[in-house]
Amino acid sequence: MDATLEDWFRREILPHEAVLMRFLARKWTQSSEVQDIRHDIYVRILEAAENERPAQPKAYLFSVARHILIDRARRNRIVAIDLLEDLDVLNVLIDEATPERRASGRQQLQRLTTLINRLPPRPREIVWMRRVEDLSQKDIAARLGIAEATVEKHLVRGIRQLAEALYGTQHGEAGGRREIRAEDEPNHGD
Amino acid sequence: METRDTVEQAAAQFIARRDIGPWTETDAAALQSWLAQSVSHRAAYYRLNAAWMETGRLNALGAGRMADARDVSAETGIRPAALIRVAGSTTLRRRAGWFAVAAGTVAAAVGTFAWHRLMDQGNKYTTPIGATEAVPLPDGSRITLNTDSTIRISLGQNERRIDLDQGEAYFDVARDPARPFVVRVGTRRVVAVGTQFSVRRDRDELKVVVAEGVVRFEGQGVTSSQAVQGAGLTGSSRSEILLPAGTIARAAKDALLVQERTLPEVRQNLSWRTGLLTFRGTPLAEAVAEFNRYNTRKIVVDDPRIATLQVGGIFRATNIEPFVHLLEEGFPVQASIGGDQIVLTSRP
Repeated sequence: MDATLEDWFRREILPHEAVLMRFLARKWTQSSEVQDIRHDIYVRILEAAENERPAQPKAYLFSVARHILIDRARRNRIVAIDLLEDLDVLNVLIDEATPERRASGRQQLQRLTTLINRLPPRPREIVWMRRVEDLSQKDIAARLGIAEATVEKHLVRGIRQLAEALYGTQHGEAGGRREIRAEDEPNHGD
Repeated sequence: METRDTVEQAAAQFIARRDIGPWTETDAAALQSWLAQSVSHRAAYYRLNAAWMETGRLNALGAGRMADARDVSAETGIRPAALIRVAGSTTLRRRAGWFAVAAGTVAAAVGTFAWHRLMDQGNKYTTPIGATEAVPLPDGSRITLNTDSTIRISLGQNERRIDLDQGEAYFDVARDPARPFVVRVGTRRVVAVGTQFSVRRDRDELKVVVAEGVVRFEGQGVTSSQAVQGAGLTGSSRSEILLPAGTIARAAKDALLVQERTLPEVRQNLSWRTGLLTFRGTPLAEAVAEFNRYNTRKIVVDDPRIATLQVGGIFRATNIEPFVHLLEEGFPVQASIGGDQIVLTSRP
């Protein structure tokens, strides 16, 4: 496939997913549909970017988001006045620093481990064993006492949840700057 | 029309299968044609693949210590003089090559069966009060044992296991994915593949300082949701947590506290490896407790009024006098030096 398009998408679009998801959650009351809307937006973005990369990816992302929301609202015969307002879009564009880019190696490491710590136990163990211990599927299966097919199943789950944790709303923030502090609220981050 | 969920599931399956293999040309072609089928497929794949690639950096960032950014782990210059090795009934004083010597001698005497048994029982290492000692392992790892500490080493085929029975040790682990490096402290475990960290045990309390890479902490201590503060963990059945470099984790009973620290603070926690104690705004009672770990002559704080005085500075752990002297000079503290203890009271 178009490796450079994939790179572009990863660099210019995915880092804004957390902000995008918050934007969608504010604008769309049907929370069960938000992930689908997010996917539709990405499809539209890629279709356009395959021809020509937008000059301002973030601005473009949110303008696509807005159009898709309006389309959907129309189809559902929802009259949503605030969807038509540009104001929020503008706010979104200025309120977040570009995440990640300036984070040091150590901060990135901390961020990654925080993400992995949020996975459910099995996927978490398996992601660790694959990524750090570099164990084979067979070894993982043996060590956990589960079937090899189950290892794959958990890994599939782990990959999907990682994306949620990394880009989506689960993370609850856009960047990797969050500090772990003793004095944080116990339930902070949920 | 495929749902988003179906598409994402399919994309994740391709990625997972490619990761754990076997991944043949046919599989690769199948992925390519699946991607070519629709933009929707590509959107899902790009996103999930990006997330998966992200975790691939764990190794590059030091979880397996491939890069050599050892600013915390500079040579410590510890002299391995007073290490006492206890294996069975024998007591030896030696340093490098213990493995070869022990294995060689024993194997020659009673054959390989006995050698295995010796390894299985674990080799015990103990430091006397005041000594810090280096214990090089045959796999290239290096353990630094702090004062008054005991470990048992058992290097198996599937696991390198260290039991920390008492005290504190620093582990500079050589990377070996086939044999995880496991430090056991009672029922808790700290697991690494190749990284640097220290573990300290005070009876049932445990402190882990991660200098480089990532370690995995396992134990019932992680189950308490309210204690896992700041790490964003609220699950109730967790049995493990990953701790990245710069983390100091303290476990006591069923509570775990995870804190992120700056590099200087991490260094400060590891300065004992050079025989130094570093205090910064440390309550006197705490500083004294630290000194007492390293010295047979104990300092006693016999006055609650001075126990909370804040002490700062860098001191040689085995050198009590300058510390006590400075206390007397800088604080309203009076020291009466007895035979095997120094009693600190408030100066009128």
